[in-house]
Formats: sequence, C-alpha cells, structure tokens
Amino acid sequence: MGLLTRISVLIVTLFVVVCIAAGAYVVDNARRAVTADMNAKARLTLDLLEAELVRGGAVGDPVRLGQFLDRLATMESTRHLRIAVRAPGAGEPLTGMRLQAGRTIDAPAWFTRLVAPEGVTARRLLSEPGIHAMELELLADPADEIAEAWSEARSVLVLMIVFTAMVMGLIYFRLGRDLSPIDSILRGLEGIERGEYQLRLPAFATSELGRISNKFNHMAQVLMESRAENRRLSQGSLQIQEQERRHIARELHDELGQSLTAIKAMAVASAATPAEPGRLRASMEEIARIADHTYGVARQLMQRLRPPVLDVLGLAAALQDLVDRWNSANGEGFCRLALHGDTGMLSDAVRISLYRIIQEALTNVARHGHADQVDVSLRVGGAGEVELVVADDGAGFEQPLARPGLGLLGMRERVAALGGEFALVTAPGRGTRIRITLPAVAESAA
Amino acid sequence: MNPIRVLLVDDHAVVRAGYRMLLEQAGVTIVGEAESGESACRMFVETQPDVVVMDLSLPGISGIEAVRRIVAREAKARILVFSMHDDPVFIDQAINAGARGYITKRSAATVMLDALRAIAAGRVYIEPGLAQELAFRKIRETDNPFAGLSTREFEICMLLAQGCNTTEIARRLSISYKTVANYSTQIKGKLGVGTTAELARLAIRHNIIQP
Repeated sequence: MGLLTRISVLIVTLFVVVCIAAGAYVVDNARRAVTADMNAKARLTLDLLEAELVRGGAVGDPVRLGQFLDRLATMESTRHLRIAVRAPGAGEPLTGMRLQAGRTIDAPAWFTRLVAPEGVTARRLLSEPGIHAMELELLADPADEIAEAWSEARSVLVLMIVFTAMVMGLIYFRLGRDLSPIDSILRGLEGIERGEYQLRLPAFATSELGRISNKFNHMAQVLMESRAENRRLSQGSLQIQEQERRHIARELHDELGQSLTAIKAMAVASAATPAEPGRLRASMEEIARIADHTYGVARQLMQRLRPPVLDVLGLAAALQDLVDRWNSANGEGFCRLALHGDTGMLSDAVRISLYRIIQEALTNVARHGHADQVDVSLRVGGAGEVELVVADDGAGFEQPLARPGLGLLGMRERVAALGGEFALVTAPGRGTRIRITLPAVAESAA
Repeated sequence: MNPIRVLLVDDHAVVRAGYRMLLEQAGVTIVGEAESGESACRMFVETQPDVVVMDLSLPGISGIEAVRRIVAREAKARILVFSMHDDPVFIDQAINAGARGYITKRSAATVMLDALRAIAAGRVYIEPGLAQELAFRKIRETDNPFAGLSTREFEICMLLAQGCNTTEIARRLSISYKTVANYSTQIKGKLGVGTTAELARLAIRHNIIQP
C-alpha cells in the first residue's frame, strides 16, 4: 500500500472513530433530553388536570368526568395523550381517552429507535374528603420531543462530517504534493541503472527529500568519476600493451629477422659454391657469430616479457636478481633486500604479483625518487600471509595525487585482486613508504 | 672403459632426440629419457645412471627442485645441468642445489662430452667462459658464510678479496662507484667483518681465493 493511501486510511479511521464516539454522545444526550422533557410535560399535565377536575367537581362523578375527558379529547394539543381514570388498583379504567394512532415522526427510524424512551406513564391519585379516590393515568407520545432532538443532533453530525471531509481533503492534497518528488527520485535511480551518471536531482523543499537528492547527486558524481577513471586505466593498460607489442615486433623484425636472413643467405651461398675450405670456414664462423648475437637478443626479449629467473629459480632468487640488476643500473641509489619466511609456499599468482609490484616500485624510485637508500622487506608467515614493505628516502610526492600513475593503480589492482591491503605514505621531502599485506592462502586471481 | 650411462631430462622431444644422436655417436649409452622433474626422480631410481643431464626449465617441479630431490635421495648422484640460461645466478643456484656441472645449450656439442667425462670421473665441470669462481664457492664448503651472499655480492666480494679497489671494481663490472661502495658495506655486514683485509682473510680461510 502506498504511503499516501496508508496515511489517508489512518486519518479516516481516526475520524470515523471520533465521529462514532461523538454520535453516541449526541444520541445519548438526546435520549436524556427527551425523557426529561416527557416527564416534565406529564407532570405539568397531571397537575393541570387535577386542578381542573377538583375545581369542576368532577372527582367522584364519573359522568362529569367522562364529559370532561371527551371535551379534552377534541383539543388539538392533547392528541398525543391518553388519559385513563380508574379506581386505585383496578385493572379496568372507568373511562378514558384513546391515544391517537402513532404518527410518523420527523426523524430517521434508527434515531427514533435509539432515542425513544420506554413508554412514559404517569399516575396521579386524586382524593377528596368524602369522595371515592381515583387514579389518573397518563400515557404520552414522545414524537415531538424526538423530532426536536433529531434536528439538533443532525446539525452537529453534519458539521462533524463536513469538517472531517475538509481535513482529509487538505491532508491528502498536501501530502500528495510533498511526496511527488519521490517520482523524480525514482526516475533518477532508473537513469543511474541505465548508466546515465550525468543526471542530477533538483533541491527539494522538504528537508528529508532534499537530503536524499543531495546524496543522490553525490553518488552520481562518484559513479561518473569512477567510470572515467576506469576507462583511463583500461586505455592506459591497452596502450602499454600495444607499446610492448610494438617493441617486441620491432626487435623481432630488426634483430631476429635480419640475423636469420643473413644466416640463410650465407648458408645458401656456401651450399651453392664449390667447397673452398678457407671461405667455408669463414662463412660458418660468421653464421655462428650471428647466431650468438640473435641468441642475445632473444634473451633480452625473454627477460623483458617474463624474467626466466622467476619461473626457473623461484621468487627469492628472482627478487635478489631484480635488486642486484637495479643496483647495477642505478648508480645513485642503493637497494637492500630482506627476505623472511618461505617464499616457496606462495602460489604462482602471488609470486608474479609480488615480483611485478616490487619491479614497479623500484622503477618509480629510479624515475622520480632521487633516493639514496631503498629498503625492500618481504615477510612470509606460516600460513602464507605476506607483508611487503618498500621504503625509500627520496623526494616523496604530494598526496593524494590528482591523477595517480598507471603503475601505482596497477599495484593497487593487483593487491585488491589477491584480497590484500595496500597502504602508501608519502610527503614531499619525506620519502615514500609502501606497505602491502596479503592474507593467508591468498585467493589467486585467474 | 665402460660407456657412460646417461639419463636425459628435457621437456623438448627435439632436443632429446638431437642430443641422443650426438651422444650415442660418441659412445655414450642413453639409459632413459624423462620430460619432467617428477619422472626424472622416478627414472633415476629405476635406471641408476652414471650421470643425469638435466634441463632447468621443466614443467611441474623445476629442474632445480628435481636436482635437490635426487641429491637428497642419493648424495653421490652426478647431475649435469644443461640450460638455455647463462646468467651466473642460474649456475649459482644449480651448484647450490647439488649439481656437479653446468653447461649452456648454446655451447658446442663437444663441451657436453667433456662435461660428461669429467663428471663421470668424479670431477666438477663448468662450461669455459662462464663464471667459474662463483660456482665453486658452493662446492668448496657446505657451511660457509659466503653462502648468504647473492651472486652479485659474491662477485664483488671476490674482487675485494683479490685486492681490487672500489674504482677498479666499478670499471670491471660497469657499475657506479657508489653502488660498489654500498655493496661493499653490505657484504662486510653480512660476513661480519670490519675491513677489506679481514674480508680477504676470511675468503682465504674458506678457500674462496688462493692466498
């Protein structure tokens, strides 16, 4: 059920309950009023009758009493009375007026039923010295009283219903207006689902919805920037891949292709010409020399693609080799390697990731750091958990970087893929410290 | 002289076929061929060869690991490592694992025969032109402080012990003066010596260099 409907139903129920309670009160009041009215009228009538009968001397004289009552019956105002005279205690009346047939009351049947008093019968004993006592019995019809009560009650009820309807209408209208921004929010979210991160919501008047629209806008902004960053990273990755491929293709073409062509030419030439030991030997030696050179190029390419030390000799030896090569290539800074624990238990994915991360970190130091000292510390725990720290005393840089280089991003991605944590601490002039932890039995990425 | 009995381990069938032909021509008996580290260990037990010719780049357990396992099982096992790589690091590690010899696939066929004969006779053999001294340090003594040095460090350490100064070492190895100085400090720290003279004495004592 919608919010609006739910609130409306709640209010309606509340008002209905109030109406019913008020209605019951009104009806109860009416009943009391009618009863009181009736009793008062009966008393008054009896008083007047008594006075009249006694004055006219009809008491004790049934004939004169009968004439009096007949005369009374013709009067308009007594139409709804039934008066009977009987001897005290007697069942049968001596004489009496009939009550006119019940008339239609000017009020709804339900109201009448609720409000009508049980038959109002009043009795009065007439006694005069020397005359037989008589009892007057009065039965009245409450029609007028009920009609009057109804007209009063009706006004109150109508007023209440009108008021309720007005309030409900107002609330429904007002609430509807306040909740209408929810539609825009939903449309906005659908847009986000489709990838339209440029959508923004306007500021809404209601404070709660206004806060939602602020958060929505912020979220859309973050998504937009994140997607842009992802694209940049992918493109950068692809670019680097293409560069590597181009380099390898060029080396293969320039060095290997040419060398093999030369070897072939020489071999074919030697096979064609008649054997001349001197020339033949010279050609063979040249072929051997070219083969050696080709071998050297192939080895360099191999090293560039995937260092053989890593696959053949393991991570410890590979890292030592990496550090020694780096030291030899960088006259300025010196790197020290400290290994603890058994690197042999690490999975292939972890090994290559650690190698590349350290390789990237050292490359960065060489390129930007101007460091004197770099310390690489790798610790492998009993269950395969890893802690790697690369710290240098170089130039450091401003953090956070507006656009982190692909190398750093790549490092973070590798660590994230292995379920680990990456922390970088740096400041201009304070050097750089990278700390990576990988969990025990690291989940290997594909 | 009895023909040398050889177990050939290489994951390339072409290489095995080529060398089999070569060796059999020279009177060597090939008692078995294996194409992985695990099957090498198994076949070593089955065929009991005089020499095992082992490639380093094998699928499954690496060649180095296979060398270790065989030597662990049979301390007198004679293994000739035969690899594409000529980097001193590889030679270092192979000898450290227990191999008796190291030759590259680039070397001439005769080198393999020389190596086989030397190793079968109980000697060690490193292909001429490769870093001899580096490898031998592992063979001389099993428990020496120089074992903790990396290949590069050992290289520099040797030169220091032989009396070269920092500038000379830098020139020889084509690295910077600063790098040599840093290595020098690090090496002395690892060996627990204070001066180059002490380093030299330690080297002599452990037969790393001749006095």
